[in-house]
Amino acid sequence: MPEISNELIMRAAKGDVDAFEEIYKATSRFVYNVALRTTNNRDNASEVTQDVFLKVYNSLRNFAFRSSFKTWVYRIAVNTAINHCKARSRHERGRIEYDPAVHDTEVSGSARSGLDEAESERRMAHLLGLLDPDQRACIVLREIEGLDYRSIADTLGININTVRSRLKRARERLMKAPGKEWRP
Amino acid sequence: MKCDQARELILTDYMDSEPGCGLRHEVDEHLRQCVSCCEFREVAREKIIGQFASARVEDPPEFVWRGIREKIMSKAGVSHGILANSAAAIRLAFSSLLSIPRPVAVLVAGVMIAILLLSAAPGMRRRALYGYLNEQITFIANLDDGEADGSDIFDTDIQIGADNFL
Repeated sequence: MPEISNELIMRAAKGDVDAFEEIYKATSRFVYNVALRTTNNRDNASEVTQDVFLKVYNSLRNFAFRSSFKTWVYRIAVNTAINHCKARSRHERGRIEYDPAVHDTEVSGSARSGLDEAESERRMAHLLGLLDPDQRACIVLREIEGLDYRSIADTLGININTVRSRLKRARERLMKAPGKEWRP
Repeated sequence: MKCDQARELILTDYMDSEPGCGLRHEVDEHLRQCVSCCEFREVAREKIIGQFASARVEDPPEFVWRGIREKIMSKAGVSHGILANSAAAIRLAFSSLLSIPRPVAVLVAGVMIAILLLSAAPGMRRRALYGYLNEQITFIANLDDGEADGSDIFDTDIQIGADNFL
């Protein structure tokens, strides 16, 4: 993610929409992808992304520059996505469905690689659907966004050992998913 | 190192090459001796790392920013609108006052001030009235003492009137 200057943040905090657009351009990819992987649905990801940036815009005046702006945006993004997911799970009585709309765009392509990619995305979505939202957020930040444990802990506002235990439980769950078997 | 401990580390710090993993050397040592844990590591790599390695990173659709911008602008528009309406209301009130013709405004202002002064000092008003009446009574009495004739009734009437007032 490109660096965001304090001057740009202050301009956006004063209501400069063009400055805020620069911040959006620098951070929206991360926010959208975390939302997409966490909610497993493009419409929900778009909705979460909008919510996140409206929260960021409305809270910019309160940003005290004590922590990294990037981490602050990450935290709002992940928490908004997790809350959205939990609310949706409650609404659907805990049932998390695979949404075929998430990864159906590439299948129509004639290239074989497109089909492989679509299948890979489908599989990934299925695996993430096996996890609860907190575990899913940890896996997304680690496996897809490549954050280290310290950054994950800062982003989620949790202890680094909680990151470890969530990753361990998530991976134990993924190890039990259909596929190559490991027999002790 | 036991298998349980080695597998726990394989699923966390060892797999993620966390710098804080001080037991990496011990895990490697254990893996050299334990076929089962080696297989566990391979399956973990395939089912966890391998599954997410090809994850596609996408940009958000165009309409997302448009939606955010519209909401920001409409919110800013509403707040500016409220301020603008308030300012317009104040301007309108002042302009309607200024549109009154000047002589009328001066007359109205004078009447208002007079009412305020009189209502603020009722004692002054009464004293002025009594002073005026006494002067009139004295003047009429003096007339009676002089050349006046056949005016008893008039004198009595005046006295009664003065008593009533005083």
